[in-house]
Amino acid sequence: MLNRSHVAPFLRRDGATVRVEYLADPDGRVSVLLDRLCQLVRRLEGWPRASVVEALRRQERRVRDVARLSGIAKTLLDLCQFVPPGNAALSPTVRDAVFRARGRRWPPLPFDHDAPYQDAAAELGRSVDDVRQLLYADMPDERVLRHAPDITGRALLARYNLELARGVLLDADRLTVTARGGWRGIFRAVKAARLMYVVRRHGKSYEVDITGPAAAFIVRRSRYGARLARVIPALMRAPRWRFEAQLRGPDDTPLRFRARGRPRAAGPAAPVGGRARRPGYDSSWERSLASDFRRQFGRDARHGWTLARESSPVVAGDELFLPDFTLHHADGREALVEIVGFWTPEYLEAKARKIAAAGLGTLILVVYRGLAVGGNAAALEAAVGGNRIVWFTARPRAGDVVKAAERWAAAPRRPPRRHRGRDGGVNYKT
Amino acid sequence: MKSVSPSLSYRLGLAVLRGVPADEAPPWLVYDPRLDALVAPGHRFSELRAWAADHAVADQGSVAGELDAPLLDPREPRPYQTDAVNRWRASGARGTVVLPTGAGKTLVALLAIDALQVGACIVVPTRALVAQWFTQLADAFGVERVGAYYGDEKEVRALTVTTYHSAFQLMERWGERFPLLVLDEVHHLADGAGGDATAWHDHLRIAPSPYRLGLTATYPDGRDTELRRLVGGVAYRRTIGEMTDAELARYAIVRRYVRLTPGEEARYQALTDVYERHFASAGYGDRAATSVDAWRMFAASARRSPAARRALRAFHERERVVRLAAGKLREAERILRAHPAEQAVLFCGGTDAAQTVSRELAIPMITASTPASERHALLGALARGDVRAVASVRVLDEGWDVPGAKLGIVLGDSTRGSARQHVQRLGRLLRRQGDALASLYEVVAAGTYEFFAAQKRGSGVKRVSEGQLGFGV
Repeated sequence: MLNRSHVAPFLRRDGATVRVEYLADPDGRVSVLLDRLCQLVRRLEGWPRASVVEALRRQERRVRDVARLSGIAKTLLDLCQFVPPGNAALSPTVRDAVFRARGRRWPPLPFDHDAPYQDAAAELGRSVDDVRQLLYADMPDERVLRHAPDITGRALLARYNLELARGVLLDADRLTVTARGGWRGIFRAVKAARLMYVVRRHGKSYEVDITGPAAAFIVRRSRYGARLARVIPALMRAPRWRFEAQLRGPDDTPLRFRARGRPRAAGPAAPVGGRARRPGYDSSWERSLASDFRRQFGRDARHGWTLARESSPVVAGDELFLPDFTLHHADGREALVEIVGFWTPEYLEAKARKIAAAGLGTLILVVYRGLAVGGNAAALEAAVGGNRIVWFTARPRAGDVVKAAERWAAAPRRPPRRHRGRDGGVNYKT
Repeated sequence: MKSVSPSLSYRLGLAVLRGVPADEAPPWLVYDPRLDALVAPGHRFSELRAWAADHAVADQGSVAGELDAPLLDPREPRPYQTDAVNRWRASGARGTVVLPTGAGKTLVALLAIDALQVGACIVVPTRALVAQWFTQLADAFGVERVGAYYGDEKEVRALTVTTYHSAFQLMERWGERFPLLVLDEVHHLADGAGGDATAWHDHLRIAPSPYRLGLTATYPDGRDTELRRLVGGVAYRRTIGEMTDAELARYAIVRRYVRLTPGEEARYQALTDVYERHFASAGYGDRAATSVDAWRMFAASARRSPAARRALRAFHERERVVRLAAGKLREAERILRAHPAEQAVLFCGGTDAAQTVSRELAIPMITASTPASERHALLGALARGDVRAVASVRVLDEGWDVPGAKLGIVLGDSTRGSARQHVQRLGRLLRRQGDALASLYEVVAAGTYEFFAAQKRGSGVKRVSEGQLGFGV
């Protein structure tokens, strides 16, 4: 990740708004240069890190602004894999032998500089040159480049611009994100970074306000900035996304920074982040249900149903659900679909309790019958309501799911009034 | 807020009270919409727990790490060390103990941990100190009870050593395990400019630990508002004037000038010309109000101007020439030969210089990236006398003990004349060993910018040492 010194030269302040001067490539020349950098680094596989860093630094004669080169080099180096040289494991032993040898020949005398190395070489059965080379072979700068990324200049440019946006977040104390899909990954990243959030619903879309747990009580409110920045890679995997970050200026004044991802980064505009992609499936059953739905209902508008993959988080009571699919009907009704594959009785019981507590009337569970044995299945049906469970044996069938949706789907609920926070948000935790 | 049964818990730096209406709870709690609960910063957890006990809140949470291990340190505490612990306990097991460098603050902390028999988090300023505290705690209470939490090494045990940098994360995740916080070199927690709290205080704000012990030789009198609020006031103080004869080593500071070799001299001059000529021709000094602004202007123009870039590189290269001057190494050898029986610490101006000294003299170096295991081994080798000297950059400047070292050689100064760094370096040598005289040599490259840095250091030492350490130079 870039640090502040890489980002600061490209920040522009316009009143209370901060924007980043992304690196654009209107005539394609930047991509050509970055292609060359990628090739250069690939040619240096097997070289020490210090040499790779120096080779990139020497490219400064080709650029107008070394701060750009420095940030691009850092982005590229972060994508590289460096490992200790093969013989580095011997270094601590060599050091021990050399330093003990000097301890025996104390104090150092003129012209005896080689003596400890000769003693250590004799003790270890190696040459003096070997011992000198191995003495600090395990230092960070001696690590060698094992693998350079196989990316194009254009991809490196987009990645660098994304890293600039993430770098701005180092000074952020609040991040508000909106995305179309990809929520599972986003919440996973939020939880992994030990952040807290409030979910707000605006019509059909959701906005998630993410903050550091104790941000209100500490001096350096931007302390969580690096953790907020960790959410961005998950966010950029969504087909469309945008975020607004609240920053603290040098005089502690609140500033605002916005960024958004485009479905396709092309043309003369500065590309930010990787190419947007559709969210992947977590299991083959999910993929199978989606393809069965496309086959049976995909081109037939008469039934009115569309199937959306993990389109938005669902707030229900004190729980936040991330269903695998949402079935939307043209008349405004919707049903949530969750596939339960391999499960334990405890898992199903907990799930049933959560659904019952949340009063989530539109949820349909699509459950693998292969593991439903006797009482467990009966208990689940009793807790959730038997006809809200769609059992399957080999693979889930879209027809059965749509049939259940016809029965259970309803217009989406608005958050109950009593759950509104001070700023109109719905309150949920990590 | 939803109706749930009343409960108190600690969560990610917050004291969280659920199921109690806001008008019945203490007024300093605030509503947190993310948790649908009332919250306060973690440091008020024990206060909130007392309130919960008075109001029959059944689930009160706890900060209850236990130690259950006797102190196995063979050293007999000196009367002032026992006195310090007693006074600290009498202050509610909160506050700072101020003792001069070398007077045994670590043993005071060990006695305090032993007295309370609870889990403790020890917060130190540098990684080198983590290793040192780890060793002392392992010797005193058993290695199975001691963990370290910093960088890539994150092992949480009943007694865990961490750095000020990592303490926030440790407290956030594992704060309930540590009823006691020991804050080494607590002067780092002095108020900021204008008496404000600083980011250094953040981990103290979220920590639920009710017991807190600060340790320092240089208490920030007059700049301790936050320190008193979050740790407690001075519980015990003893000055160096009361201890010198009985407890501490005598010392001398000697300055030695060396010349650059003709090759180094020529290179130094050429680099100086490049830098100074550009600085003058670009007129940074004329355009900027202060020298700091002029430097910023210079650094900023190095982004786009090849000439400024060359000048900036010349400036840094010039410093490297001075750091690695061959004459300094030869002088260091001479000093080591003049004190053949003493363990020595060689303070260098940068990692490159420390590595050069290490290679040339075949002595170990300690930097921030030296692995903890190797630092342990090095301490053992020094104690046994297998190794006689060690080169370091800044990690040994503060707090790190080489008890046998009575000889310090300053080969470089990464701060360009900081008197405080100089005094801290001297402090490394002041632990008394019989009647040995501690010696601190400064090796300065004559005719270079180092001359002025040394002058600044010298004039500052008297002020800092008299005002804050209490010894006369």
